[in-house]
Amino acid sequence: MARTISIDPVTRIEGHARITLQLNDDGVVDDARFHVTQFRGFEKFCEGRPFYEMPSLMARTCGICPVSHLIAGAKACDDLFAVQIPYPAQMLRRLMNLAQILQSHALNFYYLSLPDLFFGMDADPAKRNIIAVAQENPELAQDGIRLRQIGQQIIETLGGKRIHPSWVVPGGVNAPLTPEHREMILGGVPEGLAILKRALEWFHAHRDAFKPEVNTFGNFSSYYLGIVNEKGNLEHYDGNFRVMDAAGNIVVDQLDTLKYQDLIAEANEAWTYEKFPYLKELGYPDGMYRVGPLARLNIATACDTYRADEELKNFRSSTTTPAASSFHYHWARLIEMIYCLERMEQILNDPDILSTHVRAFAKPNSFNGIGVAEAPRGTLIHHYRIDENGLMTWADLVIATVHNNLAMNRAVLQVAKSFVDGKELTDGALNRVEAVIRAFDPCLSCSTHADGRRDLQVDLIDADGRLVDSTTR
Amino acid sequence: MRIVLIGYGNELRSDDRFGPEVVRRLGELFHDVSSITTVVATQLLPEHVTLFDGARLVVLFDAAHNEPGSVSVCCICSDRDTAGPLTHQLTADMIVGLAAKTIRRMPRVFLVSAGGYSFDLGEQMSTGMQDIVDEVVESAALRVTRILRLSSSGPRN
Repeated sequence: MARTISIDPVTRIEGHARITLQLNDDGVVDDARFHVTQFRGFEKFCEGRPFYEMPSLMARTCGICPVSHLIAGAKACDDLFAVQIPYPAQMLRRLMNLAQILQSHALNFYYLSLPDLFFGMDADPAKRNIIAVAQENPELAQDGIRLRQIGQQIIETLGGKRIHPSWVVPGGVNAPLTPEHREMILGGVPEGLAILKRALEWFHAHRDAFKPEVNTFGNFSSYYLGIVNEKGNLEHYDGNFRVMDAAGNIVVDQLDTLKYQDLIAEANEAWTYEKFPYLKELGYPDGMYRVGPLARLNIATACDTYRADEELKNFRSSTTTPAASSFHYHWARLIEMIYCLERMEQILNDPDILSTHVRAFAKPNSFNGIGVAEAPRGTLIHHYRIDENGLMTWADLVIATVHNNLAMNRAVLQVAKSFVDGKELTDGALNRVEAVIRAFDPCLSCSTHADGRRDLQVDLIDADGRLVDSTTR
Repeated sequence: MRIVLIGYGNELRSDDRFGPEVVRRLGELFHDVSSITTVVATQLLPEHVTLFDGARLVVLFDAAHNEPGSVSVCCICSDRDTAGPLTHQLTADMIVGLAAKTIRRMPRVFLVSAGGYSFDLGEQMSTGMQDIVDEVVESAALRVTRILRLSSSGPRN
């Protein structure tokens, strides 16, 4: 008898999602789907609003990565102005974006994924959380808390508050950096780097235990997409598109991000609110690609900061080229966090960073504006159209997580086929199905709308839709 | 003696403003007292644990789906059984559990919960909750003042 296993909600991710596994008569996984069960509608309800509200309004899409939306939204408005913002403003925006990536990666690695890595995929579910990690290894948990705090404090210092700061505005930023704040932020860099050195030591001491997961966690051929700077190096704020194929060939390079519609298109499926972007030239679903830290490190020639490049060499010598397993997102996140701190230090030592020339003033000079930046989870695209009064007539947001949608579904299927036996459901197997999603670190517009705690419920439903078995954990 | 007052809740959800509102007003009353730290947050996060380190007393203020208009004060013990978080957001029990495992000396922790009348979208609290905020601010200010007076008079024999 064919059955469906439903994992609802997927835990330790940002937002609400459900996974269903379709088993055939022999209890073998036939199909798997990652359903995003929430609808936001931001693209629609911004219509009619003044364009200059967009950065702050769009930042409300998410409570985890509002800075990324703020920056992509502001860049789209810069494009409506058709102005080049002052260099110090670019650097300050870049600084905030790096702090955002740091705090978000720290959240995923320490709070959400570390419990699996620390206790193992088959551990008691009651132990797989940050509190239990703190019980066993308080220093490691303290490091995670402190590292995220460093990122959050930089955002708060620059923007006035940790969540939904309004410091990034069309044309630049609304206040320069003070010497005191510069010193304060610089002061956190050595501590952050020391924490990451310990994290990498711990990670390398334990990663061999996860060889089965490395082999099966979204370990397949795909394209990789992201932005790189003019030298082809790692870039998060500004740059052009680069696409790499599964063999490591660069198939698109230095494509202007304003031409994103030439590169990708989006498909829809009836069973989820999340769209499915794909490479236009290859069609749907063959044009599957991955974004985010793993993709960025695959496509980049180098990080161009000392410590991050040292670790990148280690990464590249220990993985396939390009690194195909989505399990390596964890390692890539650690490398990017090192890069963020090193790059922040470089920016803060730039002689122009304290300049008061941080904003360009203009009126719209175009009816069409596009802003692209790298968010923690991947490439983020905001595209706005306005009328002659500066009111929004249309918006399209291609969210970082969405780019990975095809790959996440493929990864869930691969893990389910490898670990889930429909005759004997084990918690460890189901946890791996969730853990592969955690590796991608999807951010499903968590914002602030969750009401109460939702326990994880696993339902077994037969082909006729009857509930066969149910368990809550 | 350091006292930490944390008010949390979604300020766009009517009576869920209770915690932030109380702590904001207490912050104004005690703005010149360096030993008092006030924090307003949307939700409790693991990094709030760092506020517990070195504090003697932590008071959490939160609206709850309890009997509307009711106020409860409870001491949260660090050995209370806590379930693990499913995301980065923590409950009061969870943050105390995390603090107990990561800091050297645990402060006493109290949770002041107020039953909300409405958690609908909106920036205005209900009239009933506004009255509760007044009462809780007055009561908490009295107690904090008393604690500060006792601590400034030195150890008792």
